[in-house]
Amino acid sequence: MRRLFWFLRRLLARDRHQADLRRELDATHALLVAEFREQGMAESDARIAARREFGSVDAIRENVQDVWTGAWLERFARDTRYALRGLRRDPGFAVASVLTFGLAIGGTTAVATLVSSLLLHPLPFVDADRLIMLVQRGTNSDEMGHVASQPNIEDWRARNRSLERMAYFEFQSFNVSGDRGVPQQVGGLRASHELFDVLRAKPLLGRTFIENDDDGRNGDVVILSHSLWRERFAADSLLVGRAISVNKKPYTVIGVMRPELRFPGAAQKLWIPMLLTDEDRGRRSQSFFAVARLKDGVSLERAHADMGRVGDELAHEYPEANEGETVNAVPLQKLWMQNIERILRLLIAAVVLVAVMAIVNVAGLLLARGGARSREFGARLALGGSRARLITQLITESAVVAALGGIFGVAIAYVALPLLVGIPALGLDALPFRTKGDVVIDVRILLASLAVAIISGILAGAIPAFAVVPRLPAELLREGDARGSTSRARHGIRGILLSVETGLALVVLVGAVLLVDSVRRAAAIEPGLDARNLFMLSLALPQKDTYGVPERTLFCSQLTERAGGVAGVHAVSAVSHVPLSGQGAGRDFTIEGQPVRGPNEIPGASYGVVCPNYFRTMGIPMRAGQDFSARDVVTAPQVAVVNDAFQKKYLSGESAVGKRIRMGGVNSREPWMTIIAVVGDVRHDGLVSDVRPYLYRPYSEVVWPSMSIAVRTSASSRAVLDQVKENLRLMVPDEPISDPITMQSVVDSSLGFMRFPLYMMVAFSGIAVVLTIVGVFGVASQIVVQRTRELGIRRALGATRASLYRLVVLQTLVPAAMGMLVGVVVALSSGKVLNGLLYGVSVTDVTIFVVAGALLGSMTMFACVAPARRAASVDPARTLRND
Amino acid sequence: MFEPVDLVRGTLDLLILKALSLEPNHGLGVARRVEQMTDDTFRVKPGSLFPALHRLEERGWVSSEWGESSNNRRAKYYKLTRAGRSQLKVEVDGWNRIAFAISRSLEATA
Repeated sequence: MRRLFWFLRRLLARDRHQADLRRELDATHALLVAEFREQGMAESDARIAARREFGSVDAIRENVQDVWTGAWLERFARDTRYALRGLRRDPGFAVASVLTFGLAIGGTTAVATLVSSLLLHPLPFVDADRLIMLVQRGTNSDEMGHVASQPNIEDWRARNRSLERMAYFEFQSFNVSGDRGVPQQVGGLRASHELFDVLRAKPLLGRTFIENDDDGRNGDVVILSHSLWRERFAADSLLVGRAISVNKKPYTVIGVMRPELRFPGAAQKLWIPMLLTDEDRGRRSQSFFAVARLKDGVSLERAHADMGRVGDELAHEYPEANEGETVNAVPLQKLWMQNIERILRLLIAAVVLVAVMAIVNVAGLLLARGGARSREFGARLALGGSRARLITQLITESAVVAALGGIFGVAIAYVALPLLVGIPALGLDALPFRTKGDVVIDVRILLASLAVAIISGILAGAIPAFAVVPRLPAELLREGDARGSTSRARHGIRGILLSVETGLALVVLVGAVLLVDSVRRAAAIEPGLDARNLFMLSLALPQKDTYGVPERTLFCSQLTERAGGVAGVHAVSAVSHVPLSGQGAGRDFTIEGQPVRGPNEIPGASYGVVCPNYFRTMGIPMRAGQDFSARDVVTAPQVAVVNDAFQKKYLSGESAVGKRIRMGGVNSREPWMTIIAVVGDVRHDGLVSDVRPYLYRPYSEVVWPSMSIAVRTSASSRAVLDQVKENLRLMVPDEPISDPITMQSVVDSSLGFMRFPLYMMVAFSGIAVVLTIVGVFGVASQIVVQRTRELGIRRALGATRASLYRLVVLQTLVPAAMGMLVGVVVALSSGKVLNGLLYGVSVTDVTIFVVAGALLGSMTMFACVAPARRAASVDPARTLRND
Repeated sequence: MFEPVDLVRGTLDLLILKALSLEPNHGLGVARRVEQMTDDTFRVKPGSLFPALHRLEERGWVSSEWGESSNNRRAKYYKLTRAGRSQLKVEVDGWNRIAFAISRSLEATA
């Protein structure tokens, strides 16, 4: 508030006033000295006398300043009262401008809140700015980074010179069961014991990990999140020290974390120690993220360079695992925030454009209103009012309007924000470190919004104020309200405002059209499977060590038996990674008989584990060979199925059926497996991602801890699915089973990151188009009102109705068209903001501009039809008589 | 002698307007003119003079600009505006009414 005051004071040129006052007092002092000198005093005596007579200069200055402030406040109150009275008299203008400002401020407030609470607000860790993520990154890739192997991470730890402490972890999902509640599948981490020390996070109860936990000497232990402790264990304070069932094994609870600790997200509800396996220790099995705390005084840049050095060393020493890769150090929240950052960047751009449009729009409305009031201004100037006072008053008027709009806007934001953060596509549910609850409008944002509103109001008021208040009162009194230099100035400004407005609207519209087109194209992509009448249920399964060979084989056949038998079910199967859901795993392998390739060319493929009948259930076409069958068990020869992309990339299109491959590099001792079929490509990584080589393995040979059940039904029937779930529960009574979701919703949500910005941009461009229509309509109407007499004369002199019609349309469309041209240039040069959100189109696409231009152009035309028609129907006789 | 502090604010404003109605003047000149007009009954010190001048300027009754004094020094000159001239008339009328009322009431009690 004080800043605002300061701003307004500055606006009134207070500084200049003060300097002037100081000069005035100095001059007076000099005059006084001269006076005493004339009376015959010596110079020094005269000075002393003058000083005495003068009194305290500071006191005088202060008193004069009080006069200014008092006068200013009084004037402000008076102008505000006057403005409010004016608004009551002109409700149309009041509603239009308050709404306009309200929409703009509401948008800005909402976006500012999102940005502030999700990007700017410090993460809830001690000295969070010293925490970084360490990831492996392809030297020539633009990705931020990916998981690394445990031996690599140990080398990072040993060789770096910039890290104080480091921990590494892997995402896992766990089955919590055995107590009173139903079995529940929860996300969590397997983490090295340093994790909570790196984060400097203290537990609410018990302790965090110590070194002995890492090698299993303390038995199986687990730390619970506050939410799991509260929801599943009723916040039982005696839980620490007792055992709970995790993956059907007893784990001793050693600690409960505080509610604000989320690492990385709210979905991670428990943490278990690392307990490294032999598989983890392979330099090629990349599965870990590392988090570290910078040493005191080490900057992120230095750490980045240091880790780059370590990464290069490792690439040199272990080329078979690390060639072409290095280490990337990124701030903690950067790694998982790319999508939301991208979206927020777009929102900021859109909201700023709309806010500027609102200012321009209200300026246009005020200009029109000013035109109607020019006689009033002329009269007031003639009666001795000062021009500066009149302008200040007009600006106060629009600031008052903006302040009302600001209040309205903040109210809009309060209502809209909870709805906004609830949209699943924004992805706030999976947001690392924060929750939707962190998105709140705080006092700073509130004040900032109101300040923005008032500044916008001042800007919107200043433009027309200078144009409508004439320099000489005579100008207006003599010439009436239609002509003269102010009218010309107004005319010019009106054109410019209209240009700016249409230009900005075009930019927003181009953005919206680009996104609409992207989503339209993306949604038309075939996912490679038939999503109709297909449902998925996820199911956690016991870990491998408790599940013997016979049971593994049994799972798939039991599934077919129990769920496949339900009336209405066409086919049923199971898969480890649901396509398009974002789940995935990858493995390197070697193809029998192929020459040993360079380390960069070791074949790799995404990898999934399925039950027999998977391809038929999902509607994935079988190109060649045979599906997995119940005969494929651990003891039988190992088998695999690959996709078209696999065959194309690694076998140059030669038939893959019958070829043998094995996991790992050339020296691998894994068993060979025979490719028994080739199936169609599925867009596993999402509709807009490229198809990649894919390798399917039978569940009977490779057990996987959680499987999703795929059910194809003859129709979408709730009862059928309930029966399926019931039967599954009988099959695995202790495991959590999720509710069924449609495969179509999985496909749709893979485009969520594009849909959310799309909806926002469509909303913003809707506002932009409405603002433009209002603006164009206002300008065209003004032209008609102010030039009625001229139009009448033209008509009397033989102008046709059509030519008058054309006159008004051209006067509006020419500035609009010029604005659109400028808008094209702005849109072309700011297309970067849409990076990563587009698919199949680019900002340089001519069609996009044609569509956006045509849309906006036709709206503009439409807006000036009514005023133009009125112009054409001007009755010459009546207008001339009236004058 | 009245202390200028005791001088009612309105009275000082009135005297300044009156002084400026004769000719535009700088601050010190206004003070001297008031002293001269009141036969030194009112001595206007800078501490009350300048706030008053700026108050009148804020209200639009006087305007100011920099100029040269008679002995070639720079000084800020104040001038009565049109609005100030009519205000002076209003204030003179008001003052006369009050002065008349006060002196009448004083005579009555005496």
